[in-house]
Amino acid sequence: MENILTVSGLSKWFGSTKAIENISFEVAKGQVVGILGPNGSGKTTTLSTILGIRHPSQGTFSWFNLAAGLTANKRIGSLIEVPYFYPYLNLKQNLELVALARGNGAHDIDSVLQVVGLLTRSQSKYYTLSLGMKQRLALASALLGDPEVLVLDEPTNGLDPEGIADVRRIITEQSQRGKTIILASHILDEVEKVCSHVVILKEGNIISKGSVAELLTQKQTISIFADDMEMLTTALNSISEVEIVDKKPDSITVSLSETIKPAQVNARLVSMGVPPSGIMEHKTTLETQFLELIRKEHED
Amino acid sequence: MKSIVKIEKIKTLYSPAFRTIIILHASLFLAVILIAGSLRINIQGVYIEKILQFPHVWNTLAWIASWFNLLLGILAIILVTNEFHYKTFRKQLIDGLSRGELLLGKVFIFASIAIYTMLLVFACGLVMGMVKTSGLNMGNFIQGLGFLPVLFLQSLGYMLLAMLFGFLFKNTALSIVSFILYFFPIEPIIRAIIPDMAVKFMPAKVIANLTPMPDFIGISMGDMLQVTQGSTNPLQDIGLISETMPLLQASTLAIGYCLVFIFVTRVIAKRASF
Repeated sequence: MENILTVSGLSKWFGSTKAIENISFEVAKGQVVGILGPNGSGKTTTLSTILGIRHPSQGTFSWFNLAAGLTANKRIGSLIEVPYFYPYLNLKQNLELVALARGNGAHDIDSVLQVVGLLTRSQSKYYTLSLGMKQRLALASALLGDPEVLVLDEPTNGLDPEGIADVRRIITEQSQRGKTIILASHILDEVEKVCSHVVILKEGNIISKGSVAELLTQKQTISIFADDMEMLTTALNSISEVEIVDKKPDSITVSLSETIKPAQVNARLVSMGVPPSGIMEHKTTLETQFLELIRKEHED
Repeated sequence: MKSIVKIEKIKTLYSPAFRTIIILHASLFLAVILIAGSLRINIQGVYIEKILQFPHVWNTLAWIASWFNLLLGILAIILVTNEFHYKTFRKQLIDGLSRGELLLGKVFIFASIAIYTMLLVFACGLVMGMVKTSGLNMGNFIQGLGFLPVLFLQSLGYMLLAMLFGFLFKNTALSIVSFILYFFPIEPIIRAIIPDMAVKFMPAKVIANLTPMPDFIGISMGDMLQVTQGSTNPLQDIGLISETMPLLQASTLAIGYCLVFIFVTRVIAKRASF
């Protein structure tokens, strides 16, 4: 599959602070890649660097198989951090500037304003917009000229539930049209619904990357209830395929390796004389996997 | 190039700061020349108003216009630092412009403002000269028109230096204060320290000297002294005019400084994170 973006050993320092360190990943054509990570993990720095706003301290990136470090921003629709527009210009004028900079899209202005629900405000000055409307305008700006790639950093910031649903719909529509999308977000449910792949960052390092499907099938967690919690703990510690992740007064939550199923755990516990009073399977979500990865990294 | 010009045109023409400062600039300039035009000073037969007749009017108005170049410098700083404040330089980089194109756009807009200054002086000089000069002839009209391109160069020089400060500090107040402090007292102090030979090559000195103060008394008394002494520049003879750099040399140096300002700004823009 054709590579749209190749990032190799990218690092960025701000003085003595390392924002990102030696990160490498690839984005293939048509993929929807989520960049995840807690606050300060380096998501925005990564996106700013690959868009040429910041110079990398080390490493390279290459868009569309062009020479390393060359930005190709005219082919990329981006929304980074908060929206940046001229407050004294109206929405149409602001988008006209974007179209001129990108070299196309001047005829799309009305249609992208329609998509984000701002067509009726097209003559309003930017400073009169609410935060949510500003974010919608930024999304319209990213969509202008039908770019090959969308880079969206927290696109649902400041949006109401309807706005969030709209953004999710727009991203889904764009991905169905085969567009490559790189999306940084805190909202893991959102990423799980729209992304095919994820890159998880923590403190500037990649702690996991791959397809969402792989990540979700990696490990299953279950909660086991029993009358004697001490015996249950001892029994679980003797099963090498399970790992205790949480303890409550009436239950213990464990993660299972790929080689064991909940029914087998139940059978092993019964054979050890600690029959569970109940077993509850947890649905594996991106959020649980993400939190698990972050917790593990923290422990290491 | 065409789209960079269009982008700059839209964002500058609608800018409240641009509109306010340009209106202020034109109003102050017109007010000063209207006052100057209405003065009737006659000191023992010497008519000061002769400085508003062709060909002296071009030098006089260019000199008056040069008083307001600092205002244009401040405008240049605001136009640059607002881009950092609104983070619109960052946005335009994201949208596909290069750092060089961002700089080119600003140089284009400052050159346009310098052309506006030149046209303002031309229009006012034309009207004032025709009103004040009796017995018009083409020779008198054309002579001294060279002050207009020199004024263009001077205004551009001020704005390019201001642009450099804007890119360097990114903050409006800090850039304006530094820009003004450079003209007074930083460069004057440097000029007081360095050897006399080098003084006239300092950037602010070179740029400011492009439009020298008209030789008011010499112009007014010129005919009388020429008749009596046969001198072409009587006040130089009596030591009232200081030795300055020839205009061509000063203009060449000023062009050189303009290129240096652009180059240094380019280096700053290339290294900066937006």
